[in-house]
Amino acid sequence: MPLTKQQMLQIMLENPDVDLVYNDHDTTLGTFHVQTSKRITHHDLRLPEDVDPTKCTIRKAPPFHTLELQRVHIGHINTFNECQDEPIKLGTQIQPQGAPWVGTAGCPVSWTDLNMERHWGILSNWHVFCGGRYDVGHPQHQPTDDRPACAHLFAATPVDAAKPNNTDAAIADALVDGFHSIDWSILDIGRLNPTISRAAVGGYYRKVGRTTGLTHARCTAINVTARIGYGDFEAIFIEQDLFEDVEGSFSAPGDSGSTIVCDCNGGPSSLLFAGGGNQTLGNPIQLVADKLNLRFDP
Amino acid sequence: MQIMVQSDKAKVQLEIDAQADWTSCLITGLVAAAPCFLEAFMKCIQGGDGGSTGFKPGDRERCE
Repeated sequence: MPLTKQQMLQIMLENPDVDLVYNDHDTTLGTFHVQTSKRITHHDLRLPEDVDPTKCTIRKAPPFHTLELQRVHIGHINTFNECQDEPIKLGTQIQPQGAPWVGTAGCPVSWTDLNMERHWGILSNWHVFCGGRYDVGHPQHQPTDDRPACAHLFAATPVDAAKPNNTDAAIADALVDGFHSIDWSILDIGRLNPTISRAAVGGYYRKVGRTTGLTHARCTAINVTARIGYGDFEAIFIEQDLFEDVEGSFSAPGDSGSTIVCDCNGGPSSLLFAGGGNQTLGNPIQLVADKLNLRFDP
Repeated sequence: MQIMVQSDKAKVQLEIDAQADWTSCLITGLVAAAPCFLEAFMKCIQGGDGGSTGFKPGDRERCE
């Protein structure tokens, strides 16, 4: 039997050195993987009593952390972090007013508010647009806050250190002075297929982010449980998508907020929010869309 | 996208939002019910549902 969500959570909570737990893609085998940056053996691992320890493979890999970029590190200028005239193509750099970090404005989205009014804006991460510091309405600037605001924080799914999370997402309304500041496209990818494509193990994916630009990856696991470093706190995520590099790094600091798009049909699959070593994690975009009531067409 | 609608009394050319979700718009129209059905359906299919004025990309120069 594959591990249940509850068993994966229990392993994470009882083993502070474990960063990632996930079932083998072939769930009939009942095998699962535990990933850690520390030197631990099966003997050190505390597993639930009803879990067979012989089914566990321990892998060593760097821990996961969020991929926003501290402002002090900004130096090299490329197409993805330079200023964009309107309509702004996404996959490019964005910064909340006054924030000491930058991230990526992932993709265009639309939603309907409680008054049934339609809005058009940008999808990125909670830790990019908000980070627990900023309230609804806070201006977002492209590429940095020495340029006019291009959007305002509308809603977010905050990350909670005290309970399991499955999304780190936020949306900003791009309506500025009666016009929308954004183009309905991602730089180097173009217009998304508005149909969500759930990540599938073995599938190939692409993303555009402010640091590494257009890059490619392969999905290696879904329904992953992970421990993520947020700088001043750690959070546990469940139900996440895991990707591995294909020809160079898929992501790097600054790429947080990028939309991971399926090569199969050009539809959005995941919201990139963390990485470590040659691995990248994304929130399944269906979960994000459900929580924020999003559509990927205008 | 343009479509032509013809009845025995009139022939009308309509501009349709190429991204419009016909099923969703049909439901929007049905919820509105008669006599507002056609109005709600047309507003939705033309990309103007919810009383919004639609997606209007700007063309301002921001980088000078």
